Amino acid sequence: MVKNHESTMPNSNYNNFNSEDFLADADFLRYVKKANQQDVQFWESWLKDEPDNKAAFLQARLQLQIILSSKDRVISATQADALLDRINQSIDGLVHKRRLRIRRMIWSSGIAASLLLVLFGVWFFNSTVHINTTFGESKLVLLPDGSEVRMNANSSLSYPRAFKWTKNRMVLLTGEAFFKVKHFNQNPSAVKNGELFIAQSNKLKVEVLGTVFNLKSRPNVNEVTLIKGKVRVKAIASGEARILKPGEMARLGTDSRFMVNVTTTVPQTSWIGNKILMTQTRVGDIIAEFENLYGYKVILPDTTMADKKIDGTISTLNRESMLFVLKNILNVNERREGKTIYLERR
Amino acid sequence: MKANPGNNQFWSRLLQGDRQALNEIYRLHADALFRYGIRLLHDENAVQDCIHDLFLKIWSNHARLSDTDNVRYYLISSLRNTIINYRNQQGKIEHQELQERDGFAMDFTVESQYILKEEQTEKAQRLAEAMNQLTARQKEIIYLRYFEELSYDQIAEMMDLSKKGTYKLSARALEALREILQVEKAVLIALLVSLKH
Repeated sequence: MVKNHESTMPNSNYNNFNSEDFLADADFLRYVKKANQQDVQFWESWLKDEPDNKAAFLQARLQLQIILSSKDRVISATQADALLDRINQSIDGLVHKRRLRIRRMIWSSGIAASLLLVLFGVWFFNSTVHINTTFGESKLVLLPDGSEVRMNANSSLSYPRAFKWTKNRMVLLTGEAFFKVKHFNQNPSAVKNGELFIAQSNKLKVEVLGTVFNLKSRPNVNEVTLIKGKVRVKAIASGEARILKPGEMARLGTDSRFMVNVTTTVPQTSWIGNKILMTQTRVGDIIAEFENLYGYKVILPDTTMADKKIDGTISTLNRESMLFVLKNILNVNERREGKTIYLERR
Repeated sequence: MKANPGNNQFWSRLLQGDRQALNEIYRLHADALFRYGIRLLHDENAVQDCIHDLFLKIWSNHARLSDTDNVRYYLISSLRNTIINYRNQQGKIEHQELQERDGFAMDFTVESQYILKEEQTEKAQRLAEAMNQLTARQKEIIYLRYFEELSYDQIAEMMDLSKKGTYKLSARALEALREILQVEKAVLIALLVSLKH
Protein backbone atom coordinates (compact mmCIF):
# COMPACT_ATOMS: atom_id res chain seq x y z
CA MET A 1 0.00 0.00 0.00
CA VAL A 2 2.68 2.42 1.10
CA LYS A 3 4.77 1.34 -1.81
CA ASN A 4 1.91 2.17 -4.12
CA HIS A 5 1.85 5.68 -2.70
CA GLU A 6 5.55 6.08 -3.11
CA SER A 7 5.33 5.03 -6.72
CA THR A 8 2.63 7.57 -7.56
CA MET A 9 4.07 10.37 -5.44
CA PRO A 10 7.77 9.65 -4.99
CA ASN A 11 8.68 13.18 -3.84
CA SER A 12 5.93 13.85 -1.37
CA ASN A 13 7.12 14.29 2.14
CA TYR A 14 3.99 14.64 4.20
CA ASN A 15 5.96 15.48 7.36
CA ASN A 16 6.70 18.95 5.93
CA PHE A 17 3.12 19.67 4.80
CA ASN A 18 1.07 22.47 6.26
CA SER A 19 -2.73 22.33 6.09
CA GLU A 20 -2.87 24.14 2.76
CA ASP A 21 -0.42 21.62 1.28
CA PHE A 22 -2.66 18.79 2.45
CA LEU A 23 -5.70 20.47 0.95
CA ALA A 24 -3.89 20.69 -2.39
CA ASP A 25 -2.80 17.04 -2.37
CA ALA A 26 -4.71 14.68 -4.63
CA ASP A 27 -4.03 11.59 -2.52
CA PHE A 28 -5.12 13.34 0.65
CA LEU A 29 -8.28 14.44 -1.11
CA ARG A 30 -9.01 10.91 -2.28
CA TYR A 31 -8.47 9.62 1.25
CA VAL A 32 -11.00 12.01 2.79
CA LYS A 33 -13.48 11.69 -0.05
CA LYS A 34 -13.49 7.97 -0.67
CA ALA A 35 -11.95 6.53 2.50
CA ASN A 36 -10.52 3.55 0.61
CA GLN A 37 -9.13 0.89 2.87
CA GLN A 38 -5.63 1.32 1.47
CA ASP A 39 -5.64 5.07 2.02
CA VAL A 40 -7.11 4.82 5.54
CA GLN A 41 -4.44 2.31 6.49
CA PHE A 42 -1.67 4.53 5.05
CA TRP A 43 -2.75 7.68 6.89
CA GLU A 44 -3.41 5.82 10.18
CA SER A 45 0.07 4.42 10.13
CA TRP A 46 1.45 7.87 9.22
CA LEU A 47 -0.40 9.40 12.20
CA LYS A 48 0.85 6.71 14.55
CA ASP A 49 4.33 8.17 14.34
CA GLU A 50 2.97 11.39 15.85
CA PRO A 51 4.37 13.74 13.15
CA ASP A 52 4.97 17.39 14.13
CA ASN A 53 2.39 18.59 11.61
CA LYS A 54 -0.37 16.35 12.92
CA ALA A 55 -2.40 19.43 13.83
CA ALA A 56 -2.14 20.74 10.27
CA PHE A 57 -3.29 17.39 8.97
CA LEU A 58 -6.26 17.35 11.31
CA GLN A 59 -7.23 20.91 10.44
CA ALA A 60 -7.06 20.15 6.77
CA ARG A 61 -9.07 16.98 7.20
CA LEU A 62 -11.79 18.68 9.21
CA GLN A 63 -11.96 21.54 6.76
CA LEU A 64 -12.23 19.14 3.85
CA GLN A 65 -14.81 17.07 5.69
CA ILE A 66 -16.90 20.14 6.23
CA ILE A 67 -16.43 21.19 2.61
CA LEU A 68 -17.59 17.79 1.42
CA SER A 69 -20.57 17.92 3.77
CA SER A 70 -22.33 20.17 1.30
CA LYS A 71 -25.03 17.97 -0.18
CA ASP A 72 -25.39 17.59 -3.89
CA ARG A 73 -28.77 17.77 -5.55
CA VAL A 74 -28.75 15.02 -8.10
CA ILE A 75 -30.71 14.31 -11.22
CA SER A 76 -32.61 11.03 -11.17
CA ALA A 77 -31.76 8.41 -13.76
CA THR A 78 -35.23 8.71 -15.33
CA GLN A 79 -34.92 12.49 -15.52
CA ALA A 80 -31.46 12.18 -17.05
CA ASP A 81 -32.78 9.72 -19.65
CA ALA A 82 -35.74 11.97 -20.42
CA LEU A 83 -33.41 14.90 -20.89
CA LEU A 84 -31.22 12.88 -23.27
CA ASP A 85 -34.32 11.96 -25.29
CA ARG A 86 -35.27 15.61 -25.46
CA ILE A 87 -31.78 16.55 -26.64
CA ASN A 88 -31.91 13.89 -29.35
CA GLN A 89 -35.34 15.03 -30.49
CA SER A 90 -34.14 18.60 -30.71
CA ILE A 91 -31.13 17.51 -32.76
CA ASP A 92 -33.45 15.61 -35.11
CA GLY A 93 -35.56 18.75 -35.36
CA LEU A 94 -32.41 20.76 -36.02
CA VAL A 95 -31.40 18.52 -38.91
CA HIS A 96 -34.93 18.62 -40.28
CA LYS A 97 -35.10 22.38 -39.88
CA ARG A 98 -31.79 22.84 -41.70
CA ARG A 99 -33.05 20.72 -44.59
CA LEU A 100 -36.26 22.75 -44.65
CA ARG A 101 -34.26 25.94 -44.56
CA ILE A 102 -32.08 24.84 -47.49
CA ARG A 103 -35.15 23.79 -49.45
CA ARG A 104 -36.87 27.07 -48.63
CA MET A 105 -33.70 28.94 -49.63
CA ILE A 106 -33.63 27.21 -53.02
CA TRP A 107 -37.31 27.96 -53.49
CA SER A 108 -37.07 31.58 -52.45
CA SER A 109 -33.98 32.21 -54.57
CA GLY A 110 -35.79 30.63 -57.52
CA ILE A 111 -38.81 32.83 -56.89
CA ALA A 112 -36.56 35.86 -56.52
CA ALA A 113 -34.78 35.04 -59.77
CA SER A 114 -38.00 34.59 -61.73
CA LEU A 115 -39.43 37.73 -60.18
CA LEU A 116 -36.34 39.60 -61.30
CA LEU A 117 -36.74 38.11 -64.75
CA VAL A 118 -40.39 39.18 -64.86
CA LEU A 119 -39.49 42.65 -63.64
CA PHE A 120 -36.75 42.85 -66.24
CA GLY A 121 -39.22 41.71 -68.89
CA VAL A 122 -41.83 44.23 -67.80
CA TRP A 123 -39.22 46.96 -67.86
CA PHE A 124 -37.72 45.77 -71.14
CA PHE A 125 -41.02 45.56 -72.97
CA ASN A 126 -42.46 48.77 -71.53
CA SER A 127 -39.57 51.15 -71.49
CA THR A 128 -38.63 53.46 -74.31
CA VAL A 129 -35.27 54.65 -75.56
CA HIS A 130 -35.04 58.42 -75.96
CA ILE A 131 -32.32 60.15 -77.96
CA ASN A 132 -32.12 63.92 -78.24
CA THR A 133 -29.94 66.41 -80.07
CA THR A 134 -29.49 69.96 -78.83
CA PHE A 135 -29.16 73.10 -80.93
CA GLY A 136 -26.38 72.81 -83.49
CA GLU A 137 -25.82 69.13 -82.74
CA SER A 138 -26.14 66.13 -85.08
CA LYS A 139 -26.15 62.44 -84.13
CA LEU A 140 -26.00 59.14 -85.96
CA VAL A 141 -28.18 56.52 -84.25
CA LEU A 142 -27.96 52.81 -84.98
CA LEU A 143 -31.28 51.11 -84.25
CA PRO A 144 -31.42 47.54 -82.84
CA ASP A 145 -32.53 46.16 -86.25
CA GLY A 146 -29.49 47.66 -87.98
CA SER A 147 -31.28 50.66 -89.46
CA GLU A 148 -29.46 54.01 -89.35
CA VAL A 149 -30.93 57.33 -88.32
CA ARG A 150 -29.04 60.59 -88.82
CA MET A 151 -30.62 63.14 -86.49
CA ASN A 152 -30.49 66.85 -87.26
CA ALA A 153 -30.09 69.47 -84.50
CA ASN A 154 -32.89 70.17 -82.00
CA SER A 155 -34.60 66.82 -82.63
CA SER A 156 -35.70 63.86 -80.58
CA LEU A 157 -36.12 60.23 -81.48
CA SER A 158 -37.70 57.49 -79.38
CA TYR A 159 -38.37 53.80 -79.89
CA PRO A 160 -39.35 50.82 -77.71
CA ARG A 161 -36.45 49.09 -75.99
CA ALA A 162 -37.85 45.78 -77.27
CA PHE A 163 -37.62 47.16 -80.81
CA LYS A 164 -36.89 43.78 -82.41
CA TRP A 165 -39.69 42.00 -80.51
CA THR A 166 -42.54 44.33 -81.41
CA LYS A 167 -44.99 43.73 -84.25
CA ASN A 168 -43.77 46.71 -86.27
CA ARG A 169 -40.54 48.61 -86.03
CA MET A 170 -41.88 51.93 -84.78
CA VAL A 171 -39.99 55.16 -84.09
CA LEU A 172 -41.29 58.59 -83.07
CA LEU A 173 -39.61 61.75 -84.30
CA THR A 174 -39.84 65.45 -83.70
CA GLY A 175 -37.43 67.62 -85.64
CA GLU A 176 -35.66 66.22 -88.65
CA ALA A 177 -33.92 62.94 -89.44
CA PHE A 178 -32.57 61.02 -92.39
CA PHE A 179 -33.48 57.30 -92.34
CA LYS A 180 -31.73 54.34 -93.91
CA VAL A 181 -34.10 51.48 -93.06
CA LYS A 182 -32.94 47.87 -93.21
CA HIS A 183 -34.99 45.83 -95.63
CA PHE A 184 -36.30 42.48 -94.34
CA ASN A 185 -39.33 41.91 -96.54
CA GLN A 186 -39.22 39.01 -99.05
CA ASN A 187 -42.77 39.09 -100.39
CA PRO A 188 -44.36 42.58 -100.60
CA SER A 189 -47.85 41.09 -100.85
CA ALA A 190 -47.44 39.31 -97.49
CA VAL A 191 -45.70 41.58 -94.99
CA LYS A 192 -44.67 39.67 -91.91
CA ASN A 193 -44.23 40.90 -88.32
CA GLY A 194 -41.18 43.08 -87.90
CA GLU A 195 -40.83 43.78 -91.59
CA LEU A 196 -42.78 47.03 -91.58
CA PHE A 197 -40.98 50.12 -90.34
CA ILE A 198 -43.03 53.10 -89.18
CA ALA A 199 -41.61 56.56 -88.59
CA GLN A 200 -44.13 58.90 -87.03
CA SER A 201 -44.14 62.58 -86.19
CA ASN A 202 -46.97 64.56 -84.63
CA LYS A 203 -48.45 65.27 -88.09
CA LEU A 204 -47.10 62.52 -90.39
CA LYS A 205 -46.82 58.77 -90.50
CA VAL A 206 -44.35 57.08 -92.85
CA GLU A 207 -44.70 53.33 -93.48
CA VAL A 208 -41.81 51.64 -95.22
CA LEU A 209 -40.35 48.23 -95.88
CA GLY A 210 -36.80 49.28 -96.50
CA THR A 211 -35.85 52.61 -97.97
CA VAL A 212 -33.87 55.79 -97.62
CA PHE A 213 -35.90 58.87 -96.81
CA ASN A 214 -35.83 62.18 -94.97
CA LEU A 215 -38.55 63.10 -92.52
CA LYS A 216 -38.86 66.70 -91.44
CA SER A 217 -41.28 67.71 -88.73
CA ARG A 218 -40.70 71.31 -87.74
CA PRO A 219 -43.15 74.03 -86.63
CA ASN A 220 -42.90 75.68 -90.05
CA VAL A 221 -42.79 72.59 -92.26
CA ASN A 222 -43.78 68.90 -92.34
CA GLU A 223 -42.40 66.94 -95.26
CA VAL A 224 -41.13 63.55 -96.40
CA THR A 225 -38.54 63.19 -99.14
CA LEU A 226 -37.95 59.76 -100.65
CA ILE A 227 -34.46 58.98 -101.93
CA LYS A 228 -34.74 55.23 -102.55
CA GLY A 229 -37.45 52.54 -102.50
CA LYS A 230 -41.09 53.12 -101.73
CA VAL A 231 -43.00 54.72 -98.84
CA ARG A 232 -46.55 55.34 -97.86
CA VAL A 233 -47.10 58.73 -96.21
CA LYS A 234 -50.17 59.44 -94.19
CA ALA A 235 -51.43 62.73 -92.79
CA ILE A 236 -52.59 62.01 -89.24
CA ALA A 237 -55.13 64.86 -89.14
CA SER A 238 -56.91 64.30 -92.48
CA GLY A 239 -56.09 60.62 -92.97
CA GLU A 240 -54.92 61.31 -96.53
CA ALA A 241 -52.36 58.75 -97.71
CA ARG A 242 -49.93 58.95 -100.65
CA ILE A 243 -47.44 56.50 -102.09
CA LEU A 244 -44.13 58.16 -102.94
CA LYS A 245 -41.64 57.23 -105.61
CA PRO A 246 -37.92 58.04 -105.31
CA GLY A 247 -37.25 61.71 -105.98
CA GLU A 248 -40.66 62.80 -104.75
CA MET A 249 -41.30 65.05 -101.80
CA ALA A 250 -44.62 65.25 -99.97
CA ARG A 251 -45.22 68.41 -98.02
CA LEU A 252 -48.18 68.88 -95.73
CA GLY A 253 -50.19 72.02 -96.46
CA THR A 254 -52.00 74.11 -93.89
CA ASP A 255 -55.20 72.24 -94.88
CA SER A 256 -53.55 68.95 -93.82
CA ARG A 257 -53.42 67.87 -97.48
CA PHE A 258 -50.33 66.75 -99.32
CA MET A 259 -48.56 68.59 -102.09
CA VAL A 260 -46.26 66.22 -103.91
CA ASN A 261 -43.37 67.65 -105.91
CA VAL A 262 -40.55 66.11 -107.87
CA THR A 263 -37.18 67.11 -106.50
CA THR A 264 -33.52 66.38 -106.94
CA THR A 265 -33.66 65.52 -103.20
CA VAL A 266 -30.38 67.43 -102.82
CA PRO A 267 -31.81 70.51 -101.02
CA GLN A 268 -33.79 68.29 -98.65
CA THR A 269 -30.76 66.27 -97.60
CA SER A 270 -28.03 68.93 -97.78
CA TRP A 271 -28.30 69.42 -93.99
CA ILE A 272 -26.39 66.16 -93.58
CA GLY A 273 -23.40 68.03 -95.03
CA ASN A 274 -24.22 71.02 -92.78
CA LYS A 275 -25.37 73.14 -95.70
CA ILE A 276 -28.54 74.79 -96.93
CA LEU A 277 -28.91 74.79 -100.71
CA MET A 278 -31.12 77.67 -101.83
CA THR A 279 -32.83 77.73 -105.21
CA GLN A 280 -35.42 80.50 -105.18
CA THR A 281 -35.87 79.76 -101.51
CA ARG A 282 -37.97 82.10 -99.38
CA VAL A 283 -35.99 84.12 -96.82
CA GLY A 284 -38.69 83.25 -94.27
CA ASP A 285 -37.95 79.52 -94.71
CA ILE A 286 -34.21 80.06 -94.25
CA ILE A 287 -34.79 82.11 -91.12
CA ALA A 288 -37.15 79.38 -89.83
CA GLU A 289 -34.43 76.80 -90.44
CA PHE A 290 -31.98 78.93 -88.46
CA GLU A 291 -34.53 79.04 -85.65
CA ASN A 292 -34.99 75.26 -85.84
CA LEU A 293 -31.29 74.53 -85.70
CA TYR A 294 -30.17 77.05 -83.08
CA GLY A 295 -33.22 77.75 -80.97
CA TYR A 296 -33.28 81.53 -81.50
CA LYS A 297 -36.32 83.60 -82.41
CA VAL A 298 -35.53 85.88 -85.34
CA ILE A 299 -37.64 89.02 -85.99
CA LEU A 300 -37.43 90.51 -89.50
CA PRO A 301 -37.84 94.30 -90.00
CA ASP A 302 -40.89 93.76 -92.24
CA THR A 303 -42.91 90.93 -93.80
CA THR A 304 -41.84 91.72 -97.38
CA MET A 305 -38.34 90.61 -96.52
CA ALA A 306 -39.64 87.14 -95.60
CA ASP A 307 -41.05 86.64 -99.10
CA LYS A 308 -37.80 87.57 -100.83
CA LYS A 309 -36.28 84.62 -102.69
CA ILE A 310 -32.59 83.84 -102.82
CA ASP A 311 -30.15 81.34 -104.37
CA GLY A 312 -26.88 80.01 -103.05
CA THR A 313 -25.38 77.94 -100.25
CA ILE A 314 -25.13 78.71 -96.54
CA SER A 315 -23.07 76.66 -94.08
CA THR A 316 -25.11 75.66 -91.00
CA LEU A 317 -22.08 74.34 -89.14
CA ASN A 318 -21.65 77.44 -86.97
CA ARG A 319 -24.37 79.70 -85.63
CA GLU A 320 -22.41 82.96 -85.83
CA SER A 321 -21.05 82.37 -89.33
CA MET A 322 -24.53 81.39 -90.56
CA LEU A 323 -25.97 84.55 -89.04
CA PHE A 324 -23.12 86.64 -90.51
CA VAL A 325 -23.86 85.32 -94.02
CA LEU A 326 -27.60 85.91 -93.60
CA LYS A 327 -27.01 89.48 -92.40
CA ASN A 328 -24.88 90.27 -95.44
CA ILE A 329 -27.32 88.75 -97.92
CA LEU A 330 -30.23 90.63 -96.37
CA ASN A 331 -28.16 93.77 -95.70
CA VAL A 332 -29.28 94.11 -92.08
CA ASN A 333 -27.79 94.75 -88.63
CA GLU A 334 -28.65 92.65 -85.59
CA ARG A 335 -29.70 93.44 -82.04
CA ARG A 336 -30.01 90.65 -79.47
CA GLU A 337 -32.29 90.42 -76.48
CA GLY A 338 -31.71 87.08 -74.82
CA LYS A 339 -32.80 84.41 -77.25
CA THR A 340 -34.38 86.89 -79.65
CA ILE A 341 -32.49 88.43 -82.58
CA TYR A 342 -33.89 91.58 -84.14
CA LEU A 343 -32.75 92.21 -87.71
CA GLU A 344 -32.84 95.89 -88.70
CA ARG A 345 -32.26 97.50 -92.08
CA ARG A 346 -28.88 99.17 -92.46
CA MET B 1 -6.07 12.20 -12.41
CA LYS B 2 -9.57 11.81 -13.76
CA ALA B 3 -8.33 10.58 -17.12
CA ASN B 4 -10.87 8.25 -18.58
CA PRO B 5 -9.54 6.44 -21.64
CA GLY B 6 -12.98 6.21 -23.24
CA ASN B 7 -13.61 9.88 -22.62
CA ASN B 8 -11.40 11.42 -25.29
CA GLN B 9 -12.22 8.71 -27.75
CA PHE B 10 -15.88 9.74 -27.59
CA TRP B 11 -14.90 13.35 -28.02
CA SER B 12 -12.86 12.73 -31.17
CA ARG B 13 -15.70 10.59 -32.53
CA LEU B 14 -18.09 13.47 -31.78
CA LEU B 15 -15.89 15.86 -33.72
CA GLN B 16 -16.40 13.60 -36.73
CA GLY B 17 -20.16 13.84 -36.34
CA ASP B 18 -20.90 10.65 -34.35
CA ARG B 19 -24.31 11.05 -32.65
CA GLN B 20 -23.73 7.95 -30.53
CA ALA B 21 -20.57 9.53 -29.12
CA LEU B 22 -22.58 12.59 -28.10
CA ASN B 23 -24.97 10.31 -26.24
CA GLU B 24 -22.08 8.55 -24.47
CA ILE B 25 -20.58 11.89 -23.46
CA TYR B 26 -23.94 12.93 -22.05
CA ARG B 27 -24.26 9.71 -20.04
CA LEU B 28 -20.76 10.14 -18.62
CA HIS B 29 -21.18 13.75 -17.56
CA ALA B 30 -24.89 14.47 -17.08
CA ASP B 31 -24.75 13.87 -13.31
CA ALA B 32 -21.82 16.21 -12.76
CA LEU B 33 -23.32 18.87 -14.99
CA PHE B 34 -26.61 18.76 -13.17
CA ARG B 35 -24.96 18.79 -9.72
CA TYR B 36 -22.94 21.85 -10.66
CA GLY B 37 -25.72 23.58 -12.58
CA ILE B 38 -28.31 23.27 -9.84
CA ARG B 39 -25.94 25.00 -7.41
CA LEU B 40 -25.66 27.91 -9.83
CA LEU B 41 -29.26 28.16 -10.96
CA HIS B 42 -31.37 26.58 -8.12
CA ASP B 43 -34.08 25.55 -10.61
CA GLU B 44 -34.22 21.98 -11.87
CA ASN B 45 -36.10 22.75 -15.05
CA ALA B 46 -33.90 25.70 -15.90
CA VAL B 47 -30.76 23.62 -15.37
CA GLN B 48 -32.14 20.87 -17.59
CA ASP B 49 -32.94 23.49 -20.24
CA CYS B 50 -29.39 24.78 -20.06
CA ILE B 51 -27.90 21.28 -20.35
CA HIS B 52 -30.24 20.67 -23.29
CA ASP B 53 -29.09 23.88 -24.98
CA LEU B 54 -25.46 23.08 -24.27
CA PHE B 55 -25.60 19.67 -25.97
CA LEU B 56 -27.58 21.07 -28.87
CA LYS B 57 -24.94 23.75 -29.35
CA ILE B 58 -22.12 21.22 -29.09
CA TRP B 59 -23.84 19.13 -31.77
CA SER B 60 -24.45 22.10 -34.08
CA ASN B 61 -20.83 23.19 -33.76
CA HIS B 62 -19.19 19.77 -33.68
CA ALA B 63 -17.34 20.40 -36.93
CA ARG B 64 -15.80 23.58 -35.55
CA LEU B 65 -14.90 22.33 -32.05
CA SER B 66 -11.30 21.57 -31.21
CA ASP B 67 -9.95 18.50 -29.53
CA THR B 68 -9.72 18.65 -25.75
CA ASP B 69 -7.86 16.56 -23.22
CA ASN B 70 -10.39 17.29 -20.50
CA VAL B 71 -13.98 16.84 -21.59
CA ARG B 72 -15.33 17.35 -18.07
CA TYR B 73 -13.63 20.72 -17.79
CA TYR B 74 -14.85 21.72 -21.25
CA LEU B 75 -18.44 20.77 -20.42
CA ILE B 76 -18.50 22.42 -17.00
CA SER B 77 -17.06 25.71 -18.20
CA SER B 78 -19.42 25.67 -21.23
CA LEU B 79 -22.40 25.00 -18.97
CA ARG B 80 -21.30 27.89 -16.79
CA ASN B 81 -21.40 30.20 -19.82
CA THR B 82 -24.75 28.79 -20.91
CA ILE B 83 -26.18 29.44 -17.45
CA ILE B 84 -24.77 32.97 -17.35
CA ASN B 85 -26.39 33.69 -20.72
CA TYR B 86 -29.63 32.14 -19.52
CA ARG B 87 -29.57 34.26 -16.39
CA ASN B 88 -28.84 37.40 -18.39
CA GLN B 89 -31.84 36.68 -20.60
CA GLN B 90 -34.06 36.02 -17.60
CA GLY B 91 -32.64 39.13 -15.95
CA LYS B 92 -34.14 41.25 -18.68
CA ILE B 93 -37.57 39.96 -17.72
CA GLU B 94 -37.40 39.81 -13.92
CA HIS B 95 -34.67 42.02 -12.65
CA GLN B 96 -35.54 42.54 -9.03
CA GLU B 97 -35.43 38.93 -7.79
CA LEU B 98 -32.07 38.27 -9.35
CA GLN B 99 -29.69 39.30 -6.61
CA GLU B 100 -30.63 36.77 -3.90
CA ARG B 101 -31.04 33.91 -6.31
CA ASP B 102 -27.71 34.52 -8.00
CA GLY B 103 -25.53 32.96 -5.32
CA PHE B 104 -23.70 29.67 -5.57
CA ALA B 105 -25.63 27.30 -3.32
CA MET B 106 -23.28 25.53 -0.96
CA ASP B 107 -24.25 24.84 2.67
CA PHE B 108 -21.85 23.22 5.07
CA THR B 109 -22.84 21.12 8.05
CA VAL B 110 -21.20 18.83 10.56
CA GLU B 111 -24.01 16.32 10.17
CA SER B 112 -22.33 14.57 7.32
CA GLN B 113 -21.32 11.09 6.33
CA TYR B 114 -17.74 12.43 6.29
CA ILE B 115 -17.70 13.45 9.92
CA LEU B 116 -17.84 10.95 12.73
CA LYS B 117 -20.36 11.45 15.53
CA GLU B 118 -17.64 12.23 18.08
CA GLU B 119 -16.20 14.89 15.77
CA GLN B 120 -19.49 16.79 15.54
CA THR B 121 -18.57 19.16 18.35
CA GLU B 122 -19.57 22.72 18.96
CA LYS B 123 -16.22 23.84 17.59
CA ALA B 124 -16.72 21.96 14.32
CA GLN B 125 -20.18 23.48 14.22
CA ARG B 126 -18.68 26.97 14.44
CA LEU B 127 -16.20 26.14 11.71
CA ALA B 128 -19.03 25.00 9.43
CA GLU B 129 -21.05 28.11 10.19
CA ALA B 130 -18.01 30.25 9.44
CA MET B 131 -17.57 28.52 6.11
CA ASN B 132 -21.21 29.07 5.31
CA GLN B 133 -20.45 32.78 5.34
CA LEU B 134 -17.94 32.59 2.51
CA THR B 135 -18.95 34.51 -0.60
CA ALA B 136 -20.70 32.74 -3.47
CA ARG B 137 -17.59 33.07 -5.59
CA GLN B 138 -15.38 31.55 -2.91
CA LYS B 139 -17.83 28.70 -2.50
CA GLU B 140 -17.83 28.09 -6.24
CA ILE B 141 -14.05 27.94 -6.31
CA ILE B 142 -14.07 25.47 -3.40
CA TYR B 143 -16.69 23.39 -5.18
CA LEU B 144 -14.78 23.25 -8.46
CA ARG B 145 -11.55 22.46 -6.64
CA TYR B 146 -12.74 19.76 -4.21
CA PHE B 147 -15.85 18.31 -5.85
CA GLU B 148 -14.94 18.52 -9.50
CA GLU B 149 -11.21 18.41 -8.79
CA LEU B 150 -10.36 20.95 -11.45
CA SER B 151 -6.91 22.51 -11.34
CA TYR B 152 -6.38 26.09 -10.23
CA ASP B 153 -5.43 26.90 -13.84
CA GLN B 154 -8.75 25.62 -15.12
CA ILE B 155 -10.76 27.33 -12.40
CA ALA B 156 -8.95 30.60 -13.05
CA GLU B 157 -9.62 30.33 -16.77
CA MET B 158 -13.31 29.54 -16.51
CA MET B 159 -14.02 32.06 -13.77
CA ASP B 160 -11.98 34.73 -15.49
CA LEU B 161 -9.43 35.12 -12.71
CA SER B 162 -5.70 35.24 -12.83
CA LYS B 163 -4.23 32.09 -11.32
CA LYS B 164 -2.68 34.18 -8.58
CA GLY B 165 -6.09 35.64 -7.92
CA THR B 166 -7.52 32.18 -7.38
CA TYR B 167 -4.85 31.35 -4.86
CA LYS B 168 -5.36 34.68 -3.24
CA LEU B 169 -9.04 34.05 -3.11
CA SER B 170 -8.72 30.73 -1.32
CA ALA B 171 -6.02 32.16 0.96
CA ARG B 172 -8.43 34.99 1.65
CA ALA B 173 -11.11 32.42 2.25
CA LEU B 174 -9.00 30.85 4.94
CA GLU B 175 -8.19 34.29 6.27
CA ALA B 176 -11.87 35.10 6.42
CA LEU B 177 -12.43 31.91 8.37
CA ARG B 178 -9.94 32.96 10.97
CA GLU B 179 -11.53 36.37 11.26
CA ILE B 180 -14.94 34.89 11.70
CA LEU B 181 -13.69 32.55 14.39
CA GLN B 182 -11.81 35.53 15.85
CA VAL B 183 -8.83 33.48 16.92
CA GLU B 184 -5.13 33.48 16.18
CA LYS B 185 -3.83 30.90 13.78
CA ALA B 186 -2.03 29.07 16.61
CA VAL B 187 -5.18 29.04 18.70
CA LEU B 188 -7.16 27.81 15.74
CA ILE B 189 -4.76 24.95 15.18
CA ALA B 190 -4.84 24.09 18.86
CA LEU B 191 -8.60 24.21 18.70
CA LEU B 192 -8.64 21.90 15.75
CA VAL B 193 -6.25 19.55 17.47
CA SER B 194 -8.42 19.47 20.56
CA LEU B 195 -11.39 18.65 18.36
CA LYS B 196 -9.76 15.40 17.42
CA HIS B 197 -9.10 14.31 20.95
